Amino acid sequence: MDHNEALQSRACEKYLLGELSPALRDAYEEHYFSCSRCAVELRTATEFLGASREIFAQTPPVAAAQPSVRTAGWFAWFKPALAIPACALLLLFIGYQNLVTIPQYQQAAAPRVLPMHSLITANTLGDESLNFTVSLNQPFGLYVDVPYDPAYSTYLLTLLSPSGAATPLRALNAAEAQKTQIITINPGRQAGKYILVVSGLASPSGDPSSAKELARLQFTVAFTP
Amino acid sequence: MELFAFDDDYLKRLREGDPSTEGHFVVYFSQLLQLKLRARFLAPDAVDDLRQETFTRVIRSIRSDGGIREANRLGAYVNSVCNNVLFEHYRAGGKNVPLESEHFEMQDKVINVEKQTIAEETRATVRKVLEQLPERDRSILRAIFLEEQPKDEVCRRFGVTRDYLRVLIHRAKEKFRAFLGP
Repeated sequence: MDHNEALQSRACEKYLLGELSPALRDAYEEHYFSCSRCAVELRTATEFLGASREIFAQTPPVAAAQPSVRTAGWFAWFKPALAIPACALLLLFIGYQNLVTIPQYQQAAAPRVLPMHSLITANTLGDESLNFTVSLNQPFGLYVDVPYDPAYSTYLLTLLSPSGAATPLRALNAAEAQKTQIITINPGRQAGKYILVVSGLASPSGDPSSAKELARLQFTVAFTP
Repeated sequence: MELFAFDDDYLKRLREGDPSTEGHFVVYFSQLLQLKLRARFLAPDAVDDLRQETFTRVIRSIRSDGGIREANRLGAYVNSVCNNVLFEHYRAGGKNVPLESEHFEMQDKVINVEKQTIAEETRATVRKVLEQLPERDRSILRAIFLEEQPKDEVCRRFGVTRDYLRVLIHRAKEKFRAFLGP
């Protein structure tokens, strides 16, 4: 395994997750013993995860709810003559919400779990392309790291499809460009090579046609049979 | 954490028994050996024994007449000696211990990343990174690395893919590295 293969295959992360086959594990180990960059990357990740584990062990999970404290004062007002009609009214209200209102909202805004893929290592591949297998006509998400440069305040993301059509996707400001972004792609019925072009503008009001191309992130889409 | 390249001068000092070079050598390769040995899910005392045996053999070889003379091969040599030490450990084990690691399929278990001591400064930096992560991502990391829940179950519970886990670790590691500075 050489350095590019280690980066491209996300060997460090897979190694720590125990996801490498014995042969790949051995190959990665042979590599990181000789490659100081990969050794540093692995050490950094291990340090982070080891410390996280310790911090988690000292911190209760967020989901643990605290029981509410009852006070005699509040319950002193809870008399049956008032409680029963109030409960009946509450049940009617809940029934209406559950049978009418909520289903309408759910229809309109059902959350989707997007299949996710990553272009984070795309820049290290040279002319090679990452390959993603997705479902026909279904959107998927892409993690993207934009090559941040202080010279640019705005970054334009444009998608070139296999047919050559260019679709502007998003514009990022400088703060956004320093973080990993998620973009949603719907390939429709077009399999093939896509290119995500990242261009930089010195000013937010600059002419998009004069933006400087900063990166071309290639990926190939194939559909599940 | 600095990048380090082993050169002929370093190897010469190691051969001559220079204490600071030897100290650096042990510190540099200790963690790598520990990770490698923990990836085989050996008992902690076996990890320590095999790590020590690897160092002993490497130093002995470097100081012998026919020992390694190419500094840029030092890392590969340490790895190779560790492989031999592991192989002997497996052979010396009972009937239930496999002879070759290739006989295993992928274990799909996270490596033990627990450290003996973590500097308070490191802990504070990691805490900052964790605070910047969405709650869901923190919960995912907790589920995998503290609670050691099966990864498929974690993916199902949080509605993410295996690739998401890898990217999460990658992004968190990069944030941590950014905080640490150059």
